[in-house]
Amino acid sequence: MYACETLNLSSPLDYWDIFQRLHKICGAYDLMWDGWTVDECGEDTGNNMTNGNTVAESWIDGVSDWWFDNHPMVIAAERADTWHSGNPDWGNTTMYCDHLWGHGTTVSDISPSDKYWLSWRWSEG
Amino acid sequence: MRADKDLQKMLVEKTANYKDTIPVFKIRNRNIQELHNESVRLVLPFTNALQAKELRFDCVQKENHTLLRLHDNATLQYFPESGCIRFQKNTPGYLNPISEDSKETNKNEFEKAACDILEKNKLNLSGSMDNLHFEKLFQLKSAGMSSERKITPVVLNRLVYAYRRFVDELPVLGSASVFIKTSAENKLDAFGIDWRYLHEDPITMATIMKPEEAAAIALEQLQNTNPERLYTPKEISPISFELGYFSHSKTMYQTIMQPVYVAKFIFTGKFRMGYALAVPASRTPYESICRKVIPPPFNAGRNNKKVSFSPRINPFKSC
Repeated sequence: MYACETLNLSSPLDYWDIFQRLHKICGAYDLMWDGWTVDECGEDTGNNMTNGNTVAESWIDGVSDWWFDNHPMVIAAERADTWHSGNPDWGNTTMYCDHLWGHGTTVSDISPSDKYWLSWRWSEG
Repeated sequence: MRADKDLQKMLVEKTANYKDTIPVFKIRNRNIQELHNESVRLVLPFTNALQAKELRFDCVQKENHTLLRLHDNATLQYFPESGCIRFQKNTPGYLNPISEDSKETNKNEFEKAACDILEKNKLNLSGSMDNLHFEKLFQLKSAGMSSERKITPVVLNRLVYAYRRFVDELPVLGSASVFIKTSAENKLDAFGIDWRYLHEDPITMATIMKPEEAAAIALEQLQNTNPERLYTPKEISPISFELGYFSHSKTMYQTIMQPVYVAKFIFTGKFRMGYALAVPASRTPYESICRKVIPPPFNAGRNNKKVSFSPRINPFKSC
């Protein structure tokens, strides 16, 4: 969702109920910009994904021209086994494992009963 | 011209870098071989190869750029239209974090290191006629929270240093001229260069429009995005109005480095949005600065029932 304030950085748990086997939401927690330098951001995000980047990385990098102060954010659902008492095993999280189908690993769907925590990743200028 | 006078006045007050005349340059576009060689030369220090001929890669020709797949999932992309280069090591974002707890970091210290990082990685392409200055620091972070509202420390994964090129003391306005993404210990993780080379001698001196006149044109152009209403300071807030050289997006060809005014606005109210537009700063039309317009796919969902396809381009219409 390339639009302003589609996600809330100060309260990401508000999105808890949205994750009914949903892996991730890609959006923004503050202002996003429209201008000629971000005309290709959809294309860039797609290219990043087919080049083997994770979905989260692809989104944050793809929508950033590193000039406009964009605020992309990704929220992902996670299982209990990666929580590690609050020091997450980031390498096995949905956030850092999920790729586009056929372009890297993809975690299996997390059913609502297996959902234990939410991870989020963002860029701030 | 349709423009709110108060808004116009506010925009003019934001004017930066104004000059009466500025030189206009011809761009020296590189051929594909030259661009390939330069891209390889720049990424060589970040690979295991000692010389360009030792670099192994799989070359994929895409629609508007060339992709080189290097060892360890690293990728190098170059865009012939602009000469833009992108390199990514593609190391997983959770590896080599800068700090496991971002509360312990100091943004000012990172910013102080910006110039050293640029020089260390040999990504400063400036010559006798241009300069590169650090512009902005971006921080990429991650965190988590359990259903019991226990929160993890905020990890600072990567830093992105963005730099701006200046020609004849005027900024080249477009995406970051150079950016460097780093992981722990200032190790390079990715970089991008958006740099159109110039012929040294200017082709002409452009007489620059007064900010008042350019502001009226910018506001009229803005007004065209929503012709049904006149924008006022209640709905839109001017952020900057800067004179500089125009740099198109990376898949757009450009032959002239020409002066433009770039206006940045924020739509306030319920639907906030940042909006930037460029208007020519001279009355001479050197080259089009129109945005790239790509139609949505024909199978994209369309809410407006009144929109219909032209029979000429409707792929679903039977003959």
